[in-house]
Amino acid sequence: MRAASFVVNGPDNQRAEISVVPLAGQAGSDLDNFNRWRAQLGLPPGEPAELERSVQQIEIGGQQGKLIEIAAAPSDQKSKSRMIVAMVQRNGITWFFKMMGDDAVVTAQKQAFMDFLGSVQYAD
Amino acid sequence: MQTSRIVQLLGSLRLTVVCLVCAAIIVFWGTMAQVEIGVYAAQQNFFRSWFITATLPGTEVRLPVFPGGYLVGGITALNMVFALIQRRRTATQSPGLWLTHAGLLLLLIGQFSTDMLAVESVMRLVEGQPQWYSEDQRKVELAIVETTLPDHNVVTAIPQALLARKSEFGTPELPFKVKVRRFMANSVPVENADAGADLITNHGAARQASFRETPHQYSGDRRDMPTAEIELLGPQGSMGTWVASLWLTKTQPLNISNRTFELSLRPVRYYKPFALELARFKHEKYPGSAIPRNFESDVRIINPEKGENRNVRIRMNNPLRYYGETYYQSGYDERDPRVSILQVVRNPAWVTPYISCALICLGLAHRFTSHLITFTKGFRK
Repeated sequence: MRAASFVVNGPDNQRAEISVVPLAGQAGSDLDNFNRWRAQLGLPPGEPAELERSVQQIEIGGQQGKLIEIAAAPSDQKSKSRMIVAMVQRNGITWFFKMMGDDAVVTAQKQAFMDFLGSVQYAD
Repeated sequence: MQTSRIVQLLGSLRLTVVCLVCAAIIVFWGTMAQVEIGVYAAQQNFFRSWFITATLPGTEVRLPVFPGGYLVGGITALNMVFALIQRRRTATQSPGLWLTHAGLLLLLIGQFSTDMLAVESVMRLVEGQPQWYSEDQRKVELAIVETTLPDHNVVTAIPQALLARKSEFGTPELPFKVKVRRFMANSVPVENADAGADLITNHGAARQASFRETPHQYSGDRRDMPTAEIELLGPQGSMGTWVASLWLTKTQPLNISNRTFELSLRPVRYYKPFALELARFKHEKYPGSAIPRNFESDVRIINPEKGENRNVRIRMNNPLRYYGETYYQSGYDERDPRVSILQVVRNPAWVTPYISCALICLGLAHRFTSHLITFTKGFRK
């Protein structure tokens, strides 16, 4: 199902994983996806208002898409996770570009991830 | 004696009133329910059913709680027939009564026939690309397309109803059998395989992910996303497990005995003996607003069997009627101005509402006219 996978290693064995996943159709509502990603970070479901505050508009491959950034801090404060997800619909397929991992690595790689999104081109 | 009582009951006015009250309850209840469960589920459970069912609390058992649309409509139809038979002497003197009741009966029968026989689908047209099929919006099929030959493909499709039975399927056209191990009527992808999801497949594009079952999708603008876990059984035994899902964007290739196949779970396709090619799609809005004013599609009909190649225009309230189907301008793709979406309806019973309305109008006109003549004659005396 994944079109591409990358791993970024940081100091102290910290890492982040980037995945590119195309799914058919609308691939669920924005709120469904938002809560699914929150669950992956161990967070409870969020409200529509929180989703609205979290969404930014972004251009991916020449088309308007959406970007959401979610951070989660476990109670012990030893390891904090962060996720940045961009999604865009094109020709009946929703493309998800996701970077998820240790907070420090994701934060450090955020600009590179944004540059990656800006460089996306489709073959057809 | 017992029989005549039943016959009397079936033709009684009391039964008519009960049926009308039940119909009103069904309409009200179904209308309120569709807010929560969606239009399609409300139609299936309240109107296109013999009984309205509800889940027993604490269980997954569904029990009938009220007559459904088909039962109430069926009893109403029987009631009309028996009422006419019982009152045939009165009715003989009033052809208008016969016409009106015949029209009502035809309306009920026509609607039942439509439910049983009508097929609705959607055709997505992209400018310059001929389209030879339309797709069902609800049902899916497991499609195994043999692509070995250069000039044509052979499609073997297993419909959703059979997939849900989790059986084993084989045809002489395929060098393997398909065993359905699991069918999820609605599913979501579980992206991270190491997040506790079971990876049951050892072949195909879904090796990196899994799917889990979720409740049915009732929202009007979204559909269920089914997934099937299957095992292919060849002459030498199992050829591995595969996942076919509506979530997957590409078909999965198979190579068996020098034959090539493509495997996918896709919306049921209704192939036509002709193609429609969108030449131009026009989408107009009222000036200064986002309110749609007009959608129209200039479409070319390409029919090799009949040697037909002509242009037609399909727009709002002006559908194309062709080969027993009606093509309505249904929508468009907000992100792609080259795309037009047509709703395709095949309904063999389409003429029944027109005939029944004509019969009812004639019957009422006759009744009113008869009464008027009788009244004026009496008035003159």
